[in-house]
Amino acid sequence: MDIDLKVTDQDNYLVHLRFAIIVFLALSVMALDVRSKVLADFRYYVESALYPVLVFADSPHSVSKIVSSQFKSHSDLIKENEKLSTENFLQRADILRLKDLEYENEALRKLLNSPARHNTKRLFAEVIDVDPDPYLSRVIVNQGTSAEVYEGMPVITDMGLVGQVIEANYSYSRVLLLTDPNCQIPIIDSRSSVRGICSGSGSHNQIFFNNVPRSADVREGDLLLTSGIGGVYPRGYPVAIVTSVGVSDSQPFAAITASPLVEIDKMRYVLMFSTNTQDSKDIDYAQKAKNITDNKIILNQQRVRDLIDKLSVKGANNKNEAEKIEETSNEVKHDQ
Amino acid sequence: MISSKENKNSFLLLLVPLLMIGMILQIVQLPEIVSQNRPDFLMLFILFFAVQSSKFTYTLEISWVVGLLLDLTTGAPLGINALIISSQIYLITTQFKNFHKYVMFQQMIIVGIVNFLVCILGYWIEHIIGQAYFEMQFLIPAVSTALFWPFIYIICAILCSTFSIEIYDKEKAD
Repeated sequence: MDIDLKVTDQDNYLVHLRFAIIVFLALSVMALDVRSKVLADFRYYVESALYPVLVFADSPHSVSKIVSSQFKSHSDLIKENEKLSTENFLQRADILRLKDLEYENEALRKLLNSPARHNTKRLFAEVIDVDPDPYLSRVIVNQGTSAEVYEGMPVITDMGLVGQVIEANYSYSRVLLLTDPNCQIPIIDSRSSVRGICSGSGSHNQIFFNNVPRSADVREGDLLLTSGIGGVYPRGYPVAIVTSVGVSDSQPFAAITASPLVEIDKMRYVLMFSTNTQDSKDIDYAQKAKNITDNKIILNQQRVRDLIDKLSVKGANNKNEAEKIEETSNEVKHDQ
Repeated sequence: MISSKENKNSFLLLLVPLLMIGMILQIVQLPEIVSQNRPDFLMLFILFFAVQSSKFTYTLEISWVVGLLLDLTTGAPLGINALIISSQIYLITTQFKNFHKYVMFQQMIIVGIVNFLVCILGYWIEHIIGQAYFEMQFLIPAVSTALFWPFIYIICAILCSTFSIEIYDKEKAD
């Protein structure tokens, strides 16, 4: 009995020690991962290797989708086909106009010597998993560094902005949604051009428009677009619609809430956008435009100086000529 | 006696597949309402073997490794789920030594309270890291974990008897 007690005491002691070691290990791994990014490579490779697990975890969803699509009736399919072809036709017509506007915009930008924007690279991706962590609003999409996804890449759907890539693995990447409290997006009110930064609330149908003075012209129903400031999100993508503007005398700022346009809990497909700021062609063009503008200033200054000089010289000459003419005319008068 | 012992299979035969199932259940995509209140399946599976089998000695280490894998698949800060799962197992196995003798509803209360406490610990750590935000909903999983404990217990007990796995050592020893 005594021996048994001793053994159990020793066991207990060992359990406490083991737990202490585990806590220490967990905390040190956490610190290394979060603060120093020493484990970034390790994470990249292991998470890339765990991709099949994620796909497997998504299988109930994808299987149910396949099954439900298989059981659609013939008449439903015909209806859907008709609807889609009509939609496609209308969108083609819109695109015709869009092309024209794009050319016009490019021409105007060239006239202003500002670089034309080429948003050429678009990547289609499917949401394969939603982060189960209750503190984070993130989703996993099935495109990774193998498809040239990079950290900070903006993600959109046909409805509006979704967020940005915060972690790119080989075959999948994590997207930070705009509803996450860590996600801050520079936005602009499309009606009044009030600029600001919006941040997520943690809830999937609400974001906050922060630090806006009470006097700012923001009303219910205003459309908020990305302002393009900061360089992560391209300009002009719809983000949210203002749902309430609370103004209280005791608060220095207005409490503005907006509802995201994208249905984050329902979206299945997303578009990943690269703004191509790294594109050498764009950089060259921007450099060229800058040079032209810079030279133009110098040219202008020189031209103005020359012009002034010329004018002053001309003026002086003219004066002399006029005097000469007057003198000659006087002489002629005297002769007469 | 010897022959009956030989017939018994190792608990690992059941634990490893159950842990894999638990992992899938933790990361599988579910509707948002269900997903927010998802019980801690992995912890419950490990807890069953930790309280029932005296042969299962490396509970803390296994829960740490499993938690680390969960961190990697969910993208959480590395080590947070490892700490959460192993703390729960540690608290229950060391502070409630006769856990397996308790009535089911008492076990449920203990599981719920410990999960609740450790949830707060997890929230606290994530808040220090700067990723968490406060929402009362984060405490609901503690209730769902407690409610799921009898189901997990019964399922595991049935599976153990089906695959003739030796788990009731502790009770025999007592």
